[in-house]
Amino acid sequence: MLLLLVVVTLWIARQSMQEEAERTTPQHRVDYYLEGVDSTLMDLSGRPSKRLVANRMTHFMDDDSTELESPRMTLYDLDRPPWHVRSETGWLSGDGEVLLLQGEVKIDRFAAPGVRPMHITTRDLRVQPRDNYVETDAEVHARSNQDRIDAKGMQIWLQQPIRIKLLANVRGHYEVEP
Amino acid sequence: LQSDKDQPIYIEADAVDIDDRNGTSIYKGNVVLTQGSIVMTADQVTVTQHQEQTDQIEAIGSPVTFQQDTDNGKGTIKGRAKKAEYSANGETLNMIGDAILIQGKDTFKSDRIVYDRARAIVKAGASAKGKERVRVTIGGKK
Repeated sequence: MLLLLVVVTLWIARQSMQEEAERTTPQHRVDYYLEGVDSTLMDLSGRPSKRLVANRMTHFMDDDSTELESPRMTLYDLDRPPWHVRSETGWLSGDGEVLLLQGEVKIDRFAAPGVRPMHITTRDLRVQPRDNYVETDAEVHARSNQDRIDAKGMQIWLQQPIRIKLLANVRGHYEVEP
Repeated sequence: LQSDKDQPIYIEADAVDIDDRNGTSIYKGNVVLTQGSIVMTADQVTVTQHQEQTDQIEAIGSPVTFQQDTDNGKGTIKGRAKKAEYSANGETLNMIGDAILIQGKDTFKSDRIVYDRARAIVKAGASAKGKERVRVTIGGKK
């Protein structure tokens, strides 16, 4: 009988400890969400600088982070066609310092007179919006007309003029017109 | 080979810097460029691309090495220089700075060699610094 009493007491003690733990560690809880989001950041001269569109943005109270569904970014580039960046999902940190574009990522810049098109496919891009800096460790496949460069790892500096560095195992292929 | 100039160019390297606005891709570190039978090794190769223009290739190395098979049974041409430049589909390869070209038993030395890579002919060796003409060793006799 005594043994039963001890077991029940232990069980109750553990249950209340668990409930206490749940109360003290904040749950990752949604406080609001937005659908069909379309936001544009202007530069100092009032021209569009960056635009972020997402099917859905879900904001979490505990860490102030935001999850994005099908995020699509447009980076405007002075007198040249903009760059379009899209991924499967995204995550924006509470302080806005880091934006993760997760899953397959496509970066496209279409051609214009005197400007070659550029299409880059990679994965899991890490964006530092305030530093205008982007990086990934994943495989990168860049195409421009019939030419292509494949590599592992990439860094992009978005500050004008945009600069792209491919970091390892670089293989370039250039078609030659006779 | 005559057909080399129409072949695709493959470049392998440790890293590449793409300057989108200037249309340049600068390959750096253990760079190996191949085009048909041409094999070039360098520390850095810059590919400059402008709309509707032929890609320009510039290689820098210590030294840049170059080799190419010939059509007319003259074997393999080998060369080296501090710098080498050519147009992707062009016929002329400019070798600049302590340039050496070895064709069978013949050796050409100058600080600038202009080599016709379609016909495997050394076209000129005008010295860039005006002090040294082409020194040719025929038949490999020392």
